[in-house]
Amino acid sequence: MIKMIAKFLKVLNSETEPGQISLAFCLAMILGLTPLMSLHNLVVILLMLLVRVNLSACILGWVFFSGIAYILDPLFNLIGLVVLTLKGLEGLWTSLYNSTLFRLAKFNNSIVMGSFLFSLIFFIPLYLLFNQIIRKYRVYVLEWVQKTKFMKAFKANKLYKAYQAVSGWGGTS
Amino acid sequence: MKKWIRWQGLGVFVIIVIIVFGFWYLFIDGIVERAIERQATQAVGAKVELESADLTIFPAGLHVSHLQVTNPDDPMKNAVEISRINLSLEAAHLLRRKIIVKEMALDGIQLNTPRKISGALVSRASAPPVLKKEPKKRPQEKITFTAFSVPDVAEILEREELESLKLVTSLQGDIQKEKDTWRMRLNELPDRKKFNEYRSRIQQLKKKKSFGGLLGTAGDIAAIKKDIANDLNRIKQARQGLDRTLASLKGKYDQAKKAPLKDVERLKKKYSLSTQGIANMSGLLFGSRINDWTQKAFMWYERLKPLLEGSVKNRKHGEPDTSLRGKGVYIRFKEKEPLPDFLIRTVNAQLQIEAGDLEGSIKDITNRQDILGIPLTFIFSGENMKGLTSLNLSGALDHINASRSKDTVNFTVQGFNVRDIALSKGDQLPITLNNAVVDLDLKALIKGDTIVANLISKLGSVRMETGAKDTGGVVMSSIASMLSTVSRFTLKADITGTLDKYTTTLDSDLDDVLKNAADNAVGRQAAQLEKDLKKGIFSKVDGPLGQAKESLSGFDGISGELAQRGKLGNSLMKDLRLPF
Repeated sequence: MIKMIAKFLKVLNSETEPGQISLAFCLAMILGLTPLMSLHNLVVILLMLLVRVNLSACILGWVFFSGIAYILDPLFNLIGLVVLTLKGLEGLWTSLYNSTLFRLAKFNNSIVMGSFLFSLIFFIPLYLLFNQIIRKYRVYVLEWVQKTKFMKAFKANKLYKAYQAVSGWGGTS
Repeated sequence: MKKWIRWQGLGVFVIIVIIVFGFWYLFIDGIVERAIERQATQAVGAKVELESADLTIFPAGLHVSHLQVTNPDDPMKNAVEISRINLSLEAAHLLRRKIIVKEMALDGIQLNTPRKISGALVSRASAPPVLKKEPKKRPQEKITFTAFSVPDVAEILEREELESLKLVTSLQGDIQKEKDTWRMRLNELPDRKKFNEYRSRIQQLKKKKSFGGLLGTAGDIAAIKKDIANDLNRIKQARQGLDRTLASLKGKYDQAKKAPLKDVERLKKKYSLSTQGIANMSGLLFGSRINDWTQKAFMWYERLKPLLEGSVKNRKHGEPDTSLRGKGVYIRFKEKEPLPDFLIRTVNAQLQIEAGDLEGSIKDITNRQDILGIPLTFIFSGENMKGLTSLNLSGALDHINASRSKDTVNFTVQGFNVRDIALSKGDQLPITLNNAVVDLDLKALIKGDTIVANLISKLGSVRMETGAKDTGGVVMSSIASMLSTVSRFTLKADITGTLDKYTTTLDSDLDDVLKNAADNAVGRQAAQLEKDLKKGIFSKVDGPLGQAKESLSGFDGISGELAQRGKLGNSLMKDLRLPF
């Protein structure tokens, strides 16, 4: 895990396209917030592997959002229940319910539906937000962080040595 | 574009998918085995074990070998043991997360088999709460009758207060009291001495001859006449009073004379034997067993019922299924071809019972009949079995509308050989059914919670043995003797009420036969008792009653005396007629 964090810090501090890191986070958000054993997550994993996104960011993001998912489950359940019982959408849900593919996707489960909708809604805003954060971080924070006493102490510890160990790995993951 | 796509990722994805499916293929049998054991154990409340489970993909199916379901009430026995279960699944429905079993074959089903180790759960915390019902009070297996021995007549007469004796004693007292009263009253009434005084006065008046004397004499005569008339009137009133007293005492005497017979009737009624207990002898002999069977059948029915109706009743489309914490809820929508999540279309089963093999099928097993719209039906039959000519079991469990469920069961057995069954274990009248050939026909209908069941069993080639002891008396001996001659009888049982509170009514022609035998014996006993009671009571009452009669005759003297005094008075009145 330390190596994973070190690797992520290296990518963050490198010239890697911010979009690749942000997209990794956003895909990890879907994977983490929605129940893992859902059909759509197979597509998300395929995208993570096929699209050149940072895998370390993916894994860290997945761990992070999985933790958040436990807290947000009641909210997802509520959203899912409201959406699935909307009279206006009953026709749509009924036709999806009669499709084998969607039944396999467990779309009629309140938490699957709630968490998936939540992830989709926040996908683009978070993508843009992460991009901005990474850019600002590189311009304003990185240099300042390097000079702080904390960072100096940090450089002396095991984590930093690990960071050094992988610093020669070049390119993005 | 090349900057954003890494084609080697696709390869990695394929490898991951292959690894996942490989893992699934290697370990799924164990997972299925444990899942079946865990879920079934939780449902039954006792260990459910299987030797192996083999899931096949092409064709989709499952093969289970040696399934053992522990009886939760007797953990050292299996309620059911099945050698092999083969089921074929409709694969297309699996993708829709529906388990639709096209056909299920159960081979080597055995009931109530012994276990090597206990199948009780160490901790039953995870087991579903089983409603323990208070066992119903079972009819006695020991047959006892309230009064089949009559106490000795001397004992009865010692214990009982005789009305007749009380009346005679009271009569004697009354007679004595009245006698004393009348003796006193006789002394107060004008006696011979008084009438002799009147006679002397009349003689003196007759001696007066002068005119003046004659005038005075007339006045005196009128005065004497008045006095005598008054005395005669008192005597007359006394005689009337005495007549009334005598009439009353004679009435009481007549009453006392009849009283012993009334005592005999009363005591005969009280101490005679009753055949009331024999009126439902079949209930005493078979009630306990039928009650046991009914309770067991109801217990299994109550356990199966929730499995037929699912966890939520009458759900509509668009309404959520039961919520599981952290797992969300599944919302159901209208399906073009509605099917429940779990359905076994056909089960072909071979049941091995002691008498031989029973074969049959069960159709449309599901926990959501409301979706399927078809009731569960079953039919089993067996022929030419050991000690059994034929057996047929069929029925339907209709829970399409859970609130208006309707279940029917028809069960017929022909030529079932019954041997050595203890019908009654009591000391008073132990009865063993040594042999019988039974034809049985059961029809049961359960509508909601209401049950109507009718059982007709015809027993032929009956041989019953009784061990009635001499202490049971004449009636017991008669019943025992009659039972040993019974060769056939019919037993009808009607069960009505609700599953919680039902009544079992038993009726049999055996009751009439036994009641007649008992009635005759009781009749003979009653006649003897009457004879003995008459003898005993009359021997006690006859003496005092004779004394009372004698005392009554004592009033003749008083009556004669009063008559004599009246005569004297009347003759004096004649002497007073003028002219002297």
